[in-house]
Amino acid sequence: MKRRMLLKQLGLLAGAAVVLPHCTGKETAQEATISLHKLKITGHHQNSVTALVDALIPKTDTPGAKELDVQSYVWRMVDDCTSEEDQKKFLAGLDHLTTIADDRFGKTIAECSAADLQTLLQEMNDGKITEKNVGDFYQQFRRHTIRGFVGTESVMTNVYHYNMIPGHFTGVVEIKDPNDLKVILG
Amino acid sequence: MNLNIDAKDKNTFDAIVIGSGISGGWAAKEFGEKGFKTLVLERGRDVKHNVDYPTTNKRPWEFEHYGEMPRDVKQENPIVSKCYAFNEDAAHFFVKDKEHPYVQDKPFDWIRGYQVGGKSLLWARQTQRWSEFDFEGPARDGFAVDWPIRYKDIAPWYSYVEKFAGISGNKDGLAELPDGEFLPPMEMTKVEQYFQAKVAELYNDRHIIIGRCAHITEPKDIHIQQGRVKCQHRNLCQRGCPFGGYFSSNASTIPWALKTGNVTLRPNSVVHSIIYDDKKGKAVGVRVIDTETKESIEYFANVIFVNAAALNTNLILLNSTSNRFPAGLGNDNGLLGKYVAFHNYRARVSAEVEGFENFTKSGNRPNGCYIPRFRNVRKQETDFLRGYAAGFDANRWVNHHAEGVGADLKANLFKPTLGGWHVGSHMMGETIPKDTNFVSLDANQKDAWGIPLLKINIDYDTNDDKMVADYLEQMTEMFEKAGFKNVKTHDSKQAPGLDIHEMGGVRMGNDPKTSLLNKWNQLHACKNVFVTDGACMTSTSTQNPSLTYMALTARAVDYAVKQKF
Repeated sequence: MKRRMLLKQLGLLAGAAVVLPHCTGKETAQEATISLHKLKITGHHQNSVTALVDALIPKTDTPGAKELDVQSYVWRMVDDCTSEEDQKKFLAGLDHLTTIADDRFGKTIAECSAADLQTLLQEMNDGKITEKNVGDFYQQFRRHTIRGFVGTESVMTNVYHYNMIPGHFTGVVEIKDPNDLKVILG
Repeated sequence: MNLNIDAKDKNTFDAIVIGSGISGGWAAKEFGEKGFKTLVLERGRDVKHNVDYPTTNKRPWEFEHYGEMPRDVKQENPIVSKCYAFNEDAAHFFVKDKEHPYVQDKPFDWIRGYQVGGKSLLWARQTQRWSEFDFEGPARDGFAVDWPIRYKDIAPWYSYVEKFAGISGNKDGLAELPDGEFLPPMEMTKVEQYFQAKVAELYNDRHIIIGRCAHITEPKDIHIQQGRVKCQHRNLCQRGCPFGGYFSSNASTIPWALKTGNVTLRPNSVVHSIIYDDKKGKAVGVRVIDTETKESIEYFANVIFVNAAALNTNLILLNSTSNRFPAGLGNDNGLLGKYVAFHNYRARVSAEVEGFENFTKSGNRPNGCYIPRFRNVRKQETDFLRGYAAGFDANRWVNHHAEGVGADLKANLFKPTLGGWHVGSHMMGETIPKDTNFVSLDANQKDAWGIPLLKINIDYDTNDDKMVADYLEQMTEMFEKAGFKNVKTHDSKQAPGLDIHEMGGVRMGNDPKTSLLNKWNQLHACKNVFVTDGACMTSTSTQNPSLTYMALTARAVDYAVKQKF
């Protein structure tokens, strides 16, 4: 522990949120590797979202969201389909979450373990962390990650049995097995 | 000198059809089959069946934003963005606001499709016939002018176009919604069947039926000849259908017309005006601007069909001025552009349904249920004129579970469950044509081709408000009597236009003093010009109008080819 404590002692805390991303060694001046239309993001932002996407929907016996590149979808949606105001909240919330991660774990979001991130995600999910746009960030992040994940080819075809050409419409189907996904998704 | 004569020969046809949408396509097909050398002018680009449906086989994850339009596009195009079908998969078939401006004296959401096929690629494909009660409406109720035709005049032409287009429907035997030449009907869900039976039990004059729609549910030889096959229930119609499962100009009438060898299709051709020859006392051709070369070109023909889509047909006629017609072609009475009307789609009702847990549906249905007009059908019974039809659907919710984080969340996402049944309905109200609802040409502003911008002055009136209130009240009553719970009503107050059923301005009628077109859709004052798109409509009734345009067009061409122009 903890850069934050040190900074506090040095009386630099007020500037911490701004200073941190630029002063933490290996992340100095790290540039994002994706190119977006509007948003200006750093490599830190990019890595953080990737780690959070991975933690929110992890790999199990099936691919997780990171493996399915849902992080790209999240950035596309925030970049192209989100109001300027919500874009600002997204990045501000992400920045503050970075501060919280550092405070708690002494690590960047990308360095945190999945378990650590899941603890943070659960708290945000329970509405326990909402300050400084973290709540706004989480709502957007969660919505896009879930939508992005369930819309992937992998999930659509392997889980939901997506079929572009049903070839029929049957108006009355009597349900034999209420747990059969093919019946549920009709 | 010879060059000019050659050019004139090259540019001379038997017939010119302005527009390649749902009615223009029919004019092209009919003229082509009758051996008329025909030029079809389309202001937009070519869209060839299959070849130019770039998104038709894309799967959901292949769209960058899973279908959602980017913020910039929505901000730049606030009007078309209101349309339910303006999404990533079909946006390329819609006119963008910025590209083709118009003047809104009153709010009007003008939704347009400038390409070969026009909006026939995008339409909702509902094809209900008009009945005698609809044609006699203005005369009985004392508004607009009397229709110069009755159901018996158009009935054989409904049959004629239905057989070729392929219309799915059930023979319901209702006088207010005559049966047609139907392919097998699509099915209703369990709760739709329940509501159908319940309404039949509760009311003598109200009926729930499956929509009649332009989908091939069982291909006949005439459809196979067009290269069209059975609807595959993809529910992706707005992208253009590779099966030709639904009727569009692109899949059906245009290729059929071209196959006759008599029809020339010229995309990228904006019609500036119709040329009237004062000496000959008739229209002789059209002035076109090539949108690619900006060149102005004249084409000549003995007969001209104007099928530019309702409001653009008004624009072309208003802009076709001559010594004889200083206020627009055929406009001796000053009524051109007036008595425009539309359908009132403002109101919706929804509810939840208890029970029926053992039933669901399977597949997709590019269609819905339909409630024919039951208000003021046989006599005037309310304090508002005319009435409304309604759409109706009953489906089950699918509950997607997204609780938790991590592996728990993932497991939940993989286990959607069936929710309860819900029902929804939307109104399709007749609006009364009035001289205060009109379009005109802007005196100053012009488009990129020097054509005046269209100025739109169309609004609701108290009759519409009363009708909305009645629809909400009656549908609520029907839902509650059927035992549906949590009934919710909604008036979107959407501007006229978003219904995409604008009609009139060049109305049909018996009297040249009070109408523009006669019973054959000819301009009273310029007999070799016909208008058979939505502009010709004397009143709107409640049915989705495209089928009626198709029938009127086929009927008018049949008449035109028998004349000596």
